[in-house]
Amino acid sequence: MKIKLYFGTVLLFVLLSTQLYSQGIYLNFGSGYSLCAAPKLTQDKNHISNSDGVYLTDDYKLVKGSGSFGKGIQVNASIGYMFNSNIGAELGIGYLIGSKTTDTYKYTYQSTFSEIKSSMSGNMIRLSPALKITKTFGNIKPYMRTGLVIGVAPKLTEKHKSEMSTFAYSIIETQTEYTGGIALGFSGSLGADYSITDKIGIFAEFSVINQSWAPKKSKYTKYLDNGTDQLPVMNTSAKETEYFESFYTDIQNPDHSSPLKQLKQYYPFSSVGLNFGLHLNL
Amino acid sequence: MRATSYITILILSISFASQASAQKLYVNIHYGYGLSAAPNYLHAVDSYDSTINTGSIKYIKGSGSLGAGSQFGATIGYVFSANISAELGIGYLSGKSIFDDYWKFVSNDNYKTKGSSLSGSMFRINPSIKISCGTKKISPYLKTGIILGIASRITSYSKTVDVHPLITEVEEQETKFSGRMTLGFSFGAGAQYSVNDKIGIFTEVLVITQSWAPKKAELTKYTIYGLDQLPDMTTYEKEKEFVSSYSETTQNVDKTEPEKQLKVFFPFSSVGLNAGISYKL
Repeated sequence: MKIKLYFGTVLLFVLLSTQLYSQGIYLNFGSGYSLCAAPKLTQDKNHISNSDGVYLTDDYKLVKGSGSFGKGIQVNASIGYMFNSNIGAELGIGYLIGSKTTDTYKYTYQSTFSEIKSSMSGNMIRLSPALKITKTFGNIKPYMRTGLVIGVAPKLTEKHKSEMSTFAYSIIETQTEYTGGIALGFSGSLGADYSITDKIGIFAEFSVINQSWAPKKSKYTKYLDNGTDQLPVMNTSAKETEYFESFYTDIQNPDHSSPLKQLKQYYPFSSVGLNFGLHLNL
Repeated sequence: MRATSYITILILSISFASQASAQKLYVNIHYGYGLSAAPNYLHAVDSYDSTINTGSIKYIKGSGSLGAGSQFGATIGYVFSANISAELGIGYLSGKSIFDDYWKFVSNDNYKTKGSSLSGSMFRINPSIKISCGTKKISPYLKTGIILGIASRITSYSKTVDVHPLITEVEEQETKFSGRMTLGFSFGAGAQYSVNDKIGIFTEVLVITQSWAPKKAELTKYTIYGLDQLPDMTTYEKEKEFVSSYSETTQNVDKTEPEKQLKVFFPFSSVGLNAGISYKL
């Protein structure tokens, strides 16, 4: 419903604005870096715990700049069409290479210790149909652009490494991949085109993306216990999880041959960033 | 840094747009309703029957953001040219309550239910820039800006009824979260219809990208069997402070100070429809 409302408004906008002549097709190629916007997760933290046998001291620290898997590099290309000198529409495609978020836990007591390090990073292809309004001031054209963001083939990769030294040393390494579903969102940009020639120009813009994603499934792609691969001996419900909006469980008769069921979880992908690139008038 | 850079771009855009033509002030009042966008916060209805060892859980649709709800406000705007204007808006978000239920059945005279709700509110200051086009009568536009959330609040309430064969325990708690400003971004598309030279009506779809990390939380109500438990509780048990880092030892826990915890972010993003009246001064 939200998407239909937004798309309907954009379409109405175009119909209301169309004038007598069109301005032609153009291409944009660019790249940029985004920081997290509307942060949510607090996974990025360090927790160090020390015990002297009597008292336990814990140090907690939130790592600055964490909060969204949308933080990172994005490369983009788009094709646009100007309906008149002010209004145009674009269809963009981009690829997000998300930065890694980290979480560390350390515990020491005399000669024993345990350390757990985890990291998560995400990536996805983003399709962006959008509406653009621009105004010309000589060679400079400030513009605004707003539209939808459709994240396809999204993926989150989570890595864990836990080392423990109590009576014996043990190290467990796991890797989990989250996939499935589409990440829907919205985008808004404020920028300017600078025309070098009639055909070529450059652009710079601030861009905000409002997006989150709920994967449909996850599975262990790596599970090593002291270097020994455990995946061949794990049953399906131990290796794979499926996420639902609702589900029913029979605890007395669990089905180990099927993926474990859990309620779907949302992961934040909102961001605010700076993009630069090349603008070509065809 | 992000807000400063965004404000700089806004100011530069306004500077490019300034021309010698008519410059006008206008005001508008608006009301709108937002749905959750970029959902993160999940609430669910959860039930378990121990006699047959089965359970179910169901995600409550729309429970992903505390920014869903109604917002009303007013804006003052300044037209730099025929196409570009800057606005400063102030609005109040009255967030929709999100409900969460839990139910556990052991036997007819031994079961537990818990109902809880979460809701948020805040004042939003929204400086933005607007680019419009079209005719004098109908003027479609795009706008983008920054959202500064102030006086933000979240109220969390829960009531647990624990039924046993000989006794029924009823526990109620209310916690209020407050403190810290919050920064976000807004962008949207809309259209204005000029009724006459002074008055216009407009409608727009507005997306707000925002989350909030409160500075503190305070237990404002805690009763068991209707008896107030707060007078017997320490500050450490009743209050929390949310910080970016802290150190805690079991040796000297100061019960006269609030308990420290790492910052928690609550989602306030939304996508909604606004409508209002505009008046040229």
